[in-house]
Amino acid sequence: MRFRTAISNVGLLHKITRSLAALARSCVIRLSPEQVHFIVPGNESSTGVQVWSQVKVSTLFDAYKIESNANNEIWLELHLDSLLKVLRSADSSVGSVNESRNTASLTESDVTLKLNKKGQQPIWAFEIRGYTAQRKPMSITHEIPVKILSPKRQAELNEPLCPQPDIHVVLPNLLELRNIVSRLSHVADDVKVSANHDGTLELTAKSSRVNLTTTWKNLSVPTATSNDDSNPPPPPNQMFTTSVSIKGLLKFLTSHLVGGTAIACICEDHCLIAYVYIGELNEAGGVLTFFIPAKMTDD
Amino acid sequence: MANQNSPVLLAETNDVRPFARLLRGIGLKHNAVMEITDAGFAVTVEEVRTLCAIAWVPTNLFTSFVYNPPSNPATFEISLDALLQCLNIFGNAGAASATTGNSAGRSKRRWAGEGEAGGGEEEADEYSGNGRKGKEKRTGMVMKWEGEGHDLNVLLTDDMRGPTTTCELRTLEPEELMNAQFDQDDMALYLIMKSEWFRDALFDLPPSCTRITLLATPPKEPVPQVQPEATISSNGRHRHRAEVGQFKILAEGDFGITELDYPNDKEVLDKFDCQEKVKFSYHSSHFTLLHRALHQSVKICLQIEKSGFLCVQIMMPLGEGVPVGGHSGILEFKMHALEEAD
Repeated sequence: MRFRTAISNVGLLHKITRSLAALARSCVIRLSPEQVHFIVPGNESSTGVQVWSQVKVSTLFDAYKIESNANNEIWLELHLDSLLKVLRSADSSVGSVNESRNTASLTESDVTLKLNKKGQQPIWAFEIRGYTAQRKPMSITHEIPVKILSPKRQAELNEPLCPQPDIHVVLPNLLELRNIVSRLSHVADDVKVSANHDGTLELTAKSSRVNLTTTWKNLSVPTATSNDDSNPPPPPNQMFTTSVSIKGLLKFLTSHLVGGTAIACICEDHCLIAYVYIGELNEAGGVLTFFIPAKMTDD
Repeated sequence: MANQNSPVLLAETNDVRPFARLLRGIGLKHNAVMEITDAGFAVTVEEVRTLCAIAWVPTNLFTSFVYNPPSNPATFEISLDALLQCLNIFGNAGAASATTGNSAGRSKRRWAGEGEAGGGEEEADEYSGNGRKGKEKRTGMVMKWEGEGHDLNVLLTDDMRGPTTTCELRTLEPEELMNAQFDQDDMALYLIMKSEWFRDALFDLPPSCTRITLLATPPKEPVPQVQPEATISSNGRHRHRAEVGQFKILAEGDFGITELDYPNDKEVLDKFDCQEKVKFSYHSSHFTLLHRALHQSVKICLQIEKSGFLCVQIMMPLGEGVPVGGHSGILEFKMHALEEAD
């Protein structure tokens, strides 16, 4: 089992990790020759939000080498906190974060990542090579323990099954959305997310004191790619609704850091699926998929 | 008789901030009683028998204000918290967005409807990228009330592009209000000063004090005895103050007494009416409630009845085009004096 790569986009990896760290303490990373999958299974986060994402190797890494006797795939699990600490240091050394207060960091660095073994403990070793403020070359190595997943555990991790979504809608700016949703969180615990084929998106929070509905209009609605024309298209003004916990929705919205286009799918009374695209839609550098389970409400 | 079809109230504005600012000033309880009149809103919050806070919201804060008086007085109780949260749904009417760079003096205590705004703001700052780009963004509002038994509907729009929010606030039967009236004819002290000075004074009071004493001496009092250990200038100051009269705020904390003197000089007190010596104490927690109300205000008017009943009126800066004698919102706090402790 060998794994070694240079990290070409430390900033992006940092942002992805930050988004995931908002959800769970640890995450599963599945490395394959073409893709890197970041997985947060449902039991990891308190709100039941799951993440199943795939990012192209070339989006994050360079000089990527992977070998194993299981289809050249490696599954490992690590603590997001420790990964986050390493990436913060690496990110400031690469210079993609403009934190001038951190004068101790290196500049013009290259970051490489290796899978090593320390005694019996497998580790991820990050090596940051750069220059100090005095222009002296220096390298910093961070090691974080990882857990290699057995094939049995791998088989237990399954992407949730969802019915055909009722509607897709392109979400407004995630940061703006997050700010509004975080204010709704003081009104109620759950929010009703509804959308129709006219491009209307509604968030409704209800409490004994007030009903709040925030509406967006004229959002684009990507046409369904499925080919079964057996069902006639629904009337454009028919709302499809699912209730989710605001906490869970907020956790997904932390991914505004990644900063791409996001599309939400509503499976009525089942779940809300959100795809956050990395980079431009057509480049498809990768996509983070968030499953937010529906909460059943009385009405 | 009002037209059956037209709503009792239809008010519109293109900037909710002055309205939200006034409401936040009295945000000391969850619920408030709102009364609609031709002159605007009177929003009252009462802390059982001890403190009464009223926000007078004039119609000039709205671009249009149509009131069709129903047969019964248009009075109802609503959740003030919820209303404030609604007004700030787009983040343009929060405590922080109204601040004019005076965050150093932000009080630690959280008020109804403030905590979340503050919290959200901090979070947004953490990822300060495009979060605060909309400095000039305004939230517009259309408020509508169909009449008794109906919800209060508030439609908020973040102008330019973007989403709209509708809020349906439950209206309740109003709670019985004490609202003791201040008797202008029985006045012992009447003074007007810059609210900034009053606010600074409140900041300086020891946090551990439980009672705050207001003291006023009329002009031409006998000069106090010369303190042998005091400096000449301080004795001179005492003499001068006895001559012109002064207002004094006194608070005793765990570590000593704080005393703030305001001599009756033109640049200190705009107006000072005091016939005989006045001394009353008030609960300090009620004064802390004044803090937030003083935020962004311009002048305060402090009146004390002979019985010790205190009425503080806080005036907000005048908006454009407000006629002479009009106002852009006044907050009024009324409280009774504490029993004199010996």
